[in-house]
Amino acid sequence: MKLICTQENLNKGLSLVANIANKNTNLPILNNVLLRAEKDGLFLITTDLEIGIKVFVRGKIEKTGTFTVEAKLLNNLISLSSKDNINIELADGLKIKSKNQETIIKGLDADDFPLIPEIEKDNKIEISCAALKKSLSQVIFAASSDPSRIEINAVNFSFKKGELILAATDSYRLAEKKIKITNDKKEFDLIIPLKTLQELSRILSDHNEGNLEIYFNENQILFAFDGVELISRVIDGKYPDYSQIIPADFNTSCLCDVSELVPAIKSVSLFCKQGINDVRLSFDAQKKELVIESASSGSGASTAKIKGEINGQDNNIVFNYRYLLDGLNQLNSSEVTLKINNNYSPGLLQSKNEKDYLYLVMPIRQ
Amino acid sequence: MENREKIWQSVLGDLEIIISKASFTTWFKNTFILEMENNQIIIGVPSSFVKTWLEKKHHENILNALEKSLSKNNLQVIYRVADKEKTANIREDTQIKNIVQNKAVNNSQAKNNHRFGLNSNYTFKSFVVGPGNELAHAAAHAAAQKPGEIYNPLFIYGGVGLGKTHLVQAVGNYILSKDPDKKILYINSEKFTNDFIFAIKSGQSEKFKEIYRSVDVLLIDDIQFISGKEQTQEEFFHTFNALHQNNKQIVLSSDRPPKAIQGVESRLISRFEWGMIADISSPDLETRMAILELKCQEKNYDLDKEIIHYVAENIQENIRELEGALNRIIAIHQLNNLKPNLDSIKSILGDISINPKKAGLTGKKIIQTIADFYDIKIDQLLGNSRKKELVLPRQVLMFLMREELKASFPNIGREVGQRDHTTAMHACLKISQAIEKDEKIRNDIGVLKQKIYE
Repeated sequence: MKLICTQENLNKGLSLVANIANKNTNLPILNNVLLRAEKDGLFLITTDLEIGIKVFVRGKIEKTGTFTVEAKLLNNLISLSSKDNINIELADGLKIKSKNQETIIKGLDADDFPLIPEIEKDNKIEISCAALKKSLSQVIFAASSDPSRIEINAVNFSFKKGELILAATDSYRLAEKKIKITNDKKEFDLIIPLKTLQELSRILSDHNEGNLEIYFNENQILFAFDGVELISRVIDGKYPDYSQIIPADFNTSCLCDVSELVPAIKSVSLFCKQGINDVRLSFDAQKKELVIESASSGSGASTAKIKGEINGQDNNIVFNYRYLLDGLNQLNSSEVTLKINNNYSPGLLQSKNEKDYLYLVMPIRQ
Repeated sequence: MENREKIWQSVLGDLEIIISKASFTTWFKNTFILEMENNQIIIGVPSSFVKTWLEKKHHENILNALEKSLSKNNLQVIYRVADKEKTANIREDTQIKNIVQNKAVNNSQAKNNHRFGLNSNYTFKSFVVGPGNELAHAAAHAAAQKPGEIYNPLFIYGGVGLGKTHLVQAVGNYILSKDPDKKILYINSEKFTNDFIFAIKSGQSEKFKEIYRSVDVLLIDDIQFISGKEQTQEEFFHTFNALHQNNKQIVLSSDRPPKAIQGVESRLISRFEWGMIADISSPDLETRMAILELKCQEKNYDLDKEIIHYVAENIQENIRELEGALNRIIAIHQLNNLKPNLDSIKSILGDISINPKKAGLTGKKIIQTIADFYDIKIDQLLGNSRKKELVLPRQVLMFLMREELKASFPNIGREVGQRDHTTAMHACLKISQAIEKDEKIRNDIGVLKQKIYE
């Protein structure tokens, strides 16, 4: 293996793949990145046996070949190198030469590196990178972080005709986002592990243009864009049928300014009971006021009132303020509609002009 | 099914020698024979990564080993992603799991007497209900009928030898008798700690989590022993949350109420108090007699009502002692081939020396214990100050001297800072009334009574 590429290209590629190649004590080679020099360029590959990432790096290949070295080490080295061309050569280890530095990194033979499963690329679905990135950030936070509950330590991808529905829940709240896609093929549900999507969001973080292609079969899903391929297992299971917990009708609704509601909740919540995080929301239809209050025996009590367009009967409900703020932060709108039935059934947050996103919160029963 | 398992075990045995340990555990964990028909064998593998790897790297080896094991040629081997637990429903330890020292709850061991650490003698049927344990029994029974739905967690507390372990295990046995497939884990908190330490030491905390978080019912005895063990508490906290969230029944027992367990984080305490707390107090005379009668029935031995009454009257606090005394009575009479009568019983019970603990108890010891418990100086406790925080301990002290030492009121008065005997009388009356009304005082006295005999 012998090749030349720019520090910039190599550094970018390594920063994308290095993150998942760490902390595997069982099989040390999983801490390594596989470098595969082919005729048209260099491929960098890492995997943790659940996710695999393959990145294409442009370069001039003089001799093809493969080798693996510790991903973190190589990433650190290249990120500190000067912005010049880098020569890579296989000679008693991986020899890396930049303008005024020469390094040899010990590594392992590529034969023992896991093979990344292939997916037949016949079911293609395309989404714009920017839309997927934004949508992911709107649902990921609601997914359960408990690894023992694999089905909801994940996000449900439901491919319908013309749209993709993302849903995440930790059984206290639920976020659902619909994205328009061109899908005229079959309808299909896949549960994608949270870890995979966190990795995908990370990789997409400074990528705003172009489209992302999704391929899948019943065991694997592949996200491909701009020379990057991320493949992951999907969870074998059934996502909870959440549609039945979204109430069809509401007794009371309130339209108010997000810029008033958020600071009011934040300041009142300073006086909530520790560990319960409870704030009470009272809807007064006559005065057209939303009253937010909380009290604890230790710190005191606080009440805030904000103007709101209230329809329906007077009502009140107790929420965990953190869950409320999480949802409000994801609304891309200056006005929010808050709908509730009573203190036993979930409340709904929806922005005024964005009908494809909804956020449902369970109340705290008292 | 068993046959396939055997074949695969022998294949694994062959492969283990050829392949390095690290890659063997990585690639062959949770593999199994999914289907086997004529010359076609389908191997179930946990993920596509494993599928690709076995196809490309180990196909030859697997094929050779299978052909050797089945003594057949021209086998066709296919790999398919499948979940072992879901497909085969076998939870037996495979050899690979043994290598990584998986101590998973093993269903195949469920046939013998000590399934999941449960003793099958401890059932609701063999539990004698009296006023002291009525609530605890009812709560445990309800929890066993609808595990995870009604009282979760169920926290049972009470003194030594009053039947906490019996109730906790009865919950497990009841659930098992209804659904033998339920995964039940009965342990004491010390075992939990040891397992946890072992898991950390050997770098297998993931395994530990998997085992404890996959059970349907978790029964932990003597939870108070996790006090002061912070890491264990944190792990238990997460285990508790994981199980509770999934509506898995948790039953805990302790020798004191949650609030009185020192050295346990408040977030844990509040979780203990989340579901139902039930206490078991000392059995009354009728209950003790009922217990003795039941035990006699179990042992097939006849005792007169009169004798049972005498034994029950003389051994009051502890059921374990009660059973011990009965065993002794039966043994001595059977050995000497005598018919039990009241006199012989009296001499035997005299030997056991009823309440042997009380022999060593002195007023000084009680004073010291109370001073430690309420964190005040002995001078203050016996002194003249009438501050509220001193008066209560002083009254408790006089009460305990009266109750436990059977000291006379004038004597108590003299010992506690030269007071009048009427002061002592008032104190005893006040505390005995407070015990009925105030739960905190009742608990304090309970803990103190144990402490002074330690």
